[in-house]
Amino acid sequence: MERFRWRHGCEEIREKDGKKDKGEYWHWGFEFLTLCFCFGSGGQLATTPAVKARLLSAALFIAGGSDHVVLVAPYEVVEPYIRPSLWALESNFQAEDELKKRRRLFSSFSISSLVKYMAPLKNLETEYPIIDPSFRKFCASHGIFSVEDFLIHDLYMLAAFAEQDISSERLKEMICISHGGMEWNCWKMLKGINMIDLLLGGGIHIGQLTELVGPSSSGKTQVCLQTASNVASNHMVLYIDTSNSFSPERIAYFLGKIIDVASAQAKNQILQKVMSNILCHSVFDIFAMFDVLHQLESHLRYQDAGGCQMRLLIVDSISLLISPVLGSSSTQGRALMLSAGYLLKKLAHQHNLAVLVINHTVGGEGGCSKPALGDSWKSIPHSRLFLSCVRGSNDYNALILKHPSMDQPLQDDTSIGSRERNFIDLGIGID
Amino acid sequence: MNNSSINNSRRNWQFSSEEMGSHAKSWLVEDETAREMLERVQTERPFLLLPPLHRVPIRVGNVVELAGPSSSSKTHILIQAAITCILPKQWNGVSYGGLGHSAMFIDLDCRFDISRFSELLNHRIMEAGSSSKIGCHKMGSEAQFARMKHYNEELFASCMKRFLYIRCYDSSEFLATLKTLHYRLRKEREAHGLNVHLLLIDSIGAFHWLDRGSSSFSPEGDNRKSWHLQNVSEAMVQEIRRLLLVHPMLVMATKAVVLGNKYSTNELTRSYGKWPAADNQYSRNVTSTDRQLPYREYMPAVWQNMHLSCRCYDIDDDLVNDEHPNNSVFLLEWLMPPANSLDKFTVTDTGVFILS
Repeated sequence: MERFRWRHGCEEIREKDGKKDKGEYWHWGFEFLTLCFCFGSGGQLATTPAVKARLLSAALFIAGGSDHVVLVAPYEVVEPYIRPSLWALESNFQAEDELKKRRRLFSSFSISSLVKYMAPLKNLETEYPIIDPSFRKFCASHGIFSVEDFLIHDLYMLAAFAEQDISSERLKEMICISHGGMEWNCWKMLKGINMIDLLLGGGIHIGQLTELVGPSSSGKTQVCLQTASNVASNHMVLYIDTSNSFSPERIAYFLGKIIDVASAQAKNQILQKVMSNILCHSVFDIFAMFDVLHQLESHLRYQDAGGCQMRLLIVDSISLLISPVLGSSSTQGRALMLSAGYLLKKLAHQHNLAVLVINHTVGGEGGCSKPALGDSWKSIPHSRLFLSCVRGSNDYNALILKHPSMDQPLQDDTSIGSRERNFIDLGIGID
Repeated sequence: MNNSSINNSRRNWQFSSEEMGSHAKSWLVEDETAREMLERVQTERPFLLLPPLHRVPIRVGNVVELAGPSSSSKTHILIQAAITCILPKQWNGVSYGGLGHSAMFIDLDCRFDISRFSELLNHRIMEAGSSSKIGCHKMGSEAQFARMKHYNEELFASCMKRFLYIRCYDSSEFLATLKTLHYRLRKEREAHGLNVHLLLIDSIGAFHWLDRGSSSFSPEGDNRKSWHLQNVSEAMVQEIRRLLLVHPMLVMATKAVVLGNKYSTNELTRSYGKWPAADNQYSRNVTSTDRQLPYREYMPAVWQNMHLSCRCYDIDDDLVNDEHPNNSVFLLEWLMPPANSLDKFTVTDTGVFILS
């Protein structure tokens, strides 16, 4: 493949409001080295996240066939989009440092899937000896440099092009490499607050994504804190906090009501244990959350089976993370939201976690409120629970909007008696 | 053809070897008559009349797409179709009315609940079991009850063996699954003798936004295909087509759509509310205006050209139905092949029932 001249590439992105933005890059490379310079329009730095992400993915796409990539870009482009992914690229090429590779998987959504499949074929040679140089040469002649390229090519046609020594068996094996296996986990439930457990049919399901929706100060954070304190006595809990709403005093208060031990010292011990089981991360934008989730994924994959297992993941106000990106550029925001949703579901299913996310409400028509994040988000959570506060009292209402065991949908403004529960005195009111 | 040319051709045949002559002759003999072929096809590939899709006879080799807004029972229809497929036709004297074949469920939405599925399967087994015993004497003895329970468990286990499930988290995994599905199905057939008759895809448009958001860059000068929506959808459609050639099965896919804007949705629901049971006038009005599709079609053209499609809505006012007063009523409309009226149906734990 001829790569001995500077090539110029240009990405033009048309924003929703008619503005055009342009990003340019120059690249040059051999088989083992690619140099890539990224600029924004007119030589200045790339302006919007869309352009940055596009430039980056373009660079990585080119780099898919190289061993080394030198990326030269303005600082604002490099931080925070490119730097984490550069680590990933570099560690991808050092096959022995497996742990480092997995830990450094990065934050941007479109890049994560690109790099996973864009490992150049020659890196897979040690694991799968059928990928020898002649096979790779054949693939290169058809424009296939990575596993991902295999997936969008027509394999039967490739097999027809193939020479004698490359049989279709090899092609078949190539695809099996990229596909993992699935197994069933046992479906158990976690106990949170009694009334809510009743509504949800026994508790928050492990392996499923449960969403709590409600207007402000309808008790959502309190429900999360109490659930966390219940679960943390036996398992570990990860609390992703976006609005500084995590409060250890509240956890201590909830524990104080449950623990029934006489001596203050024993109480203290239990409190210490519970507190050490809750990990709280403060994140303020969606890429930081992806970072935390990827680190969690690599940690869970390598942890041993004994000891305290992580069983609950709480994301307080996922809507606060997603709403800023949802409005600005049309497709990128929605894609980010959906990939966050899929990542949470994948974590829940593969590592036996119960995931609880909190969402806000926005005004719908007719003045009644509806959950935020729109219709595309509706199909992501397994169950949705609507919390609201009864005016003028300490009572709160909980209403199921969606649940796997319920076949009938529930409209937001109707409530059927058996599906609604009143819960009083969770201690949610001001003490 | 006049005689001389026939003579010529005969002489030509005689000049070539004897095998060719007999081979050519056997070519001309008929294999089967049209009636025989029709009978054969009807037994090997029967029409499936699954409620609520009973209006159009669908067979193995068709691709059906169910579109509808969220929570309009599309996945439930798929699950009931799967249960109908895996139940045997009869077992131990009780007729279950199923097909006895395998079903494969590809979950792209990742929201499938296996405990719910097994609950529904159990409901169907019990219901078929109890309805067949109505004529017989009631179960007095303990032993009979225990035996029945044991049979039910055996039946449940054998049905669950016929249900195959795969979950994909992005379109790369989905494409990889489709490419290797042929080998898996073949292995399944050799190992257990099971034929997969039904392929269910939950939410074919699940990764649409994810693929749209990813790079559409294609390097000039290289012959490398880039990973964007167009290529991915074409690859997907091609794989499904290939699969259907080798393993004839019925493909049912759901698609989540977002109905236009909230106001137009309300308008639709209000007009359905006025629809009296016996009068088709309103329904015809409604369907004729719906040709413009109140939702935005987002799947690419290669997919749209290959399937039959129908659309489900749910309606939120209480149309009176006598046998199932607590369940909501859904509407189904066939878009391709187009039909003039809408089907009303309701879903319960034991299946999907057509109303009116």
